[in-house]
Amino acid sequence: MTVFSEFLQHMANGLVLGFLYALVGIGLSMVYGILRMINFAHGEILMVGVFLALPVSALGAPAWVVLLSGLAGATLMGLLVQWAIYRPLLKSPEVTLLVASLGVSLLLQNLVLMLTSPQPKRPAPAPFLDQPFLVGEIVLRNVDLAIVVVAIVATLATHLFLKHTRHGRALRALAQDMSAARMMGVNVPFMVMVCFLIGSALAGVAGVLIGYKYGHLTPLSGFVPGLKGFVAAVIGGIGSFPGAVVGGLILGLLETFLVGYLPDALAQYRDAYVFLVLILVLLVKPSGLFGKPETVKV
Amino acid sequence: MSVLTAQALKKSFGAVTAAADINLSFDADTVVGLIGANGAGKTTLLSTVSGIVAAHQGQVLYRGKEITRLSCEQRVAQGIVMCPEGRRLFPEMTVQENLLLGAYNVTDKTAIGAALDRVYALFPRIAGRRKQLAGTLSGGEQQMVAIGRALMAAPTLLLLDEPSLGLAPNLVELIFETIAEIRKLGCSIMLVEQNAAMALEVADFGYVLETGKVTVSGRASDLKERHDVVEAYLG
Repeated sequence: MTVFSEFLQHMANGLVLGFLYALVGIGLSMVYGILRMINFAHGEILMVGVFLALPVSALGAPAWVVLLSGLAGATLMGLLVQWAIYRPLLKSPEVTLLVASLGVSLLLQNLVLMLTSPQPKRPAPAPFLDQPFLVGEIVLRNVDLAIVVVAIVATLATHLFLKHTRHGRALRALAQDMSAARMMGVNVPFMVMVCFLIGSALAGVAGVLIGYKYGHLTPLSGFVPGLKGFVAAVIGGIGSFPGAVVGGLILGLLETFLVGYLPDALAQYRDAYVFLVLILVLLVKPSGLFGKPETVKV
Repeated sequence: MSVLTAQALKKSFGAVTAAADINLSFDADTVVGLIGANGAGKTTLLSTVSGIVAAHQGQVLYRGKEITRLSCEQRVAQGIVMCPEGRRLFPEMTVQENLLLGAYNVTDKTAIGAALDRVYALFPRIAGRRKQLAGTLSGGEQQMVAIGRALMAAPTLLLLDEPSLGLAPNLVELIFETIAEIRKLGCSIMLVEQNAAMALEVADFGYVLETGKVTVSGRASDLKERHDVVEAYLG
């Protein structure tokens, strides 16, 4: 393999990973944009989505049905958490919501651990998705292509919704000036629900795709994707929709290149580098690529 | 029948009483001017009518029906729309998107199109800027978008809070001419203004608020003649 095709291989791997991070980061970013709250339970909503999709996969359902089950499962979980726990706290200080989300995160991890087992699980094998293909000297599997296609379609659909529908406009308005949006007749609790619905659905999709790609799912499997989605959102400027997508891609590429080009002894700390990136962004440009500097509202 | 009646409205923010005991009532198709010093309770009155804040005590009746407990969006659906002080546009959305937000509860596409045409006819200056981000407009243009956005919901009662604040004199004139135009659309207006002389010029009735209470009320033309009002607010 030439040096150049090795570079291209890392690039392709990084983009695939980046699309997964973007799918997770969008939900975190949108919720933050409206509630100024970091939803630490986002990764666990992803995990619950996949765990609800696993039995569907075990029944022999095709991959796209499993994907939709993960989407539905995560959406239901996200809405349930929002309705039961975040909604009553809507008027509380942001830090209360943050602590509540940490609690939800731990609760869901342990609940799933109790109801299932710590044994790693995987979706039923999907031979088509596992099939490799070559682009020049680059080796990819069909699942990588599926990740890219599904992520692009989901991102585009979200973009069109935000840009061209009345509820989408209301969501953007809410993030810019909540009380002015109320004056226009926007039903804030309903729109917050819509926001969680979209974010959770995308997380569920990401979860199932992660399951097919890595095939190693435990009740703690949501934790790392959740944190990396958060880092992606921060890189892009938390609260910004395009920021989450671009931030996810940057993070995926960065992580893959670091792991690919660093000596083996250093490459094994891949998660540590991600958090190093987070710290650097927060030090150098806390508002990220597309975010606005945070001003304290009076 | 009166379009709006406020009975013994009370609202305080912490230890500060903003509205102590406000009573007022006016008929349809009227422009009501609310004048008074800073902190007299004018904005609080508008906010309790719009539903953006809830009154502690008292009642708000709209066309004879009590609306005191209704949410902001329910009141917008009934035709009570607020155009807030400081314009409060959505800065990262275009002029047209801001206007469409005003018609959030209107689902009839042709009605929305007609409302857009009406607003652009009223304010030709923003018609040429419909794709521009609202945050990049001048203060006067932003005020036009803010009023236009409120009109998009086809209000029957428009609550205008300080529409002339911070505008150049020629624009203040233009805004007041527009208020006279808006009433022809069959819409009552509650107008809060620092510029009391202009407010009483355009209004049919005037209410003077002091420390959360109505102290003087009457026909705008009569208020302009009363020397206590002239001395305190028009001098």
